[in-house]
Amino acid sequence: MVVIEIEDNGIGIPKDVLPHVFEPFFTTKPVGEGTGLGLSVSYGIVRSLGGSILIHSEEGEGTRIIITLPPAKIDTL
Amino acid sequence: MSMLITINIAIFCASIVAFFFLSKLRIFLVNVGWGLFSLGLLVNVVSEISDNIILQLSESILMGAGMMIFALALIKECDVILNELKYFKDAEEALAEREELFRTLTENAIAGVFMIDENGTLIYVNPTFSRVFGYERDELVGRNTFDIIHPEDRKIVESRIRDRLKGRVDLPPSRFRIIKKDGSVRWVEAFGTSATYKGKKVVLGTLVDITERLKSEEEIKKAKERFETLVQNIPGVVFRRFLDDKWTIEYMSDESKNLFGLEPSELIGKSYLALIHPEDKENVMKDILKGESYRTEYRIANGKYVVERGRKINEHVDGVILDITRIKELEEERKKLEAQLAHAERLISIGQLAGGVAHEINNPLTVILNYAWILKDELPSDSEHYEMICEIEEAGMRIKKIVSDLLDFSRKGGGEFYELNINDIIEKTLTILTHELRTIKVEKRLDAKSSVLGEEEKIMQILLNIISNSIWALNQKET
Repeated sequence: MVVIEIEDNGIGIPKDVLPHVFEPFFTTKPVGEGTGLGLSVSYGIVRSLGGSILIHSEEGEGTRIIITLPPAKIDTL
Repeated sequence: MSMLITINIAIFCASIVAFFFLSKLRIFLVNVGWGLFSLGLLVNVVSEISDNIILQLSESILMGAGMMIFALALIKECDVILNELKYFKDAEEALAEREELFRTLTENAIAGVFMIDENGTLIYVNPTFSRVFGYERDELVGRNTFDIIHPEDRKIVESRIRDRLKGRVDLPPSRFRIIKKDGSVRWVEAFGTSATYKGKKVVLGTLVDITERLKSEEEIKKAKERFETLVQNIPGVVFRRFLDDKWTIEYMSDESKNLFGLEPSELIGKSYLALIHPEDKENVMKDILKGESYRTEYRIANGKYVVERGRKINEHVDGVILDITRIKELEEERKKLEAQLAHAERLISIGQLAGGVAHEINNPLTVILNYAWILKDELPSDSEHYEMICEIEEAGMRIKKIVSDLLDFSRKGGGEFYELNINDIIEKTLTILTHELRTIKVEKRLDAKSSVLGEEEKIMQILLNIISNSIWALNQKET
């Protein structure tokens, strides 16, 4: 598997928000700053490639996103 | 003369002796009577010789009195003899009566009655005994018992007879097989006791044909076994409970080990209510009250889900409890999958709607933006409308961004897949975001070989979206 990890030490995602982040048009950003489609679209693409997205987040600590994609060749396992 | 006196004195003495030793008044009287009579006779002899009037008188008195006493004694004696005769007759009758009683008892006894001597020879058998063996009585009496006992059981019977003859009474009845006259084999049960008959040790006993009883016993045993195997093979707990306030367990099959983790012996006599999950107790009680037959689903104390079906019979509840934990789990899983599917379907329809709307908006938006740009070019920057046009342009651009996101969201795959180096895509993405990342420290840890199959712009889009989110989150923290 090819794993891409993107980690930041930003504001993090509140616990009650976390279950909804992949829903389309769901956003906590102020009007005009987000469409609520970014993660939804990303999720859709990753799934269409047979991969998965995991999100670990602590409010105030930061967020870590782990994208797993199937490898192009078996030898990259 | 002297001879007669001697006889008289002897009779007197004899009568006195008889009185003292035999204490029999009548014998005494007989003798007194006879004594007086013989005294009279003596006096008579003397008076014949002497011709004395006094002697003659006393002779008469003595003889008379003697005769009378003798007669009285004789009458008394006769009475006694008659009485004795009657007594003997009564005794004889009583004996005959008793004999008849015993004969009736033994001859008509429902059990076979027998008497055998030390060698096992039959001395007496009653009709029932003969009937059990299928012989005539004459054929049995004088015959050895072992001839009519099954060869395999002879040893047991022999040792048992020996024990009986020793006087042992604490032995249980013995069961053995006999062979009837027609050759058929029957099971009998015999009770015996030792006795003495005509000065010889014998065994007295009774015997009953138990073949039919054994058969029914065997049938009951088989039926019980059938019930047990049936119940134990049911993949659930079969139970019987009392309908008392504690729901006392009367019976529970072995399956309780798997469901409750307890042996039936540990549960019988205990309250069933303690085995039900406290939160479900009330519902179970409600369900059971519903009718004669009921069905209820609940959790037991160890958290397993069960379904219980039962029927109320008098003061009992009979039923079966099945473990449905796995079914419940599958049901939960199915519900979850259904929810996921519904969610996915909703997403698809939202995507389609969004795509349609986005297309519809794109055309008028192009008109708005194009005219806004034309106006912006033509208007002097100090014009009062210049700001307005700039606002229109900005709002239009925002719409354009939304529309393009919507189109991305609704766009289905279908492009061609290439082998892509993920490291290259990461580099390109970071280059695009150079401006936004200028205040952020980026750490890259890239492996040498990482390639996936896909469309480059889509993978880049994922990274752009996620990194943009991170940038936003970091900027939020700074402000």
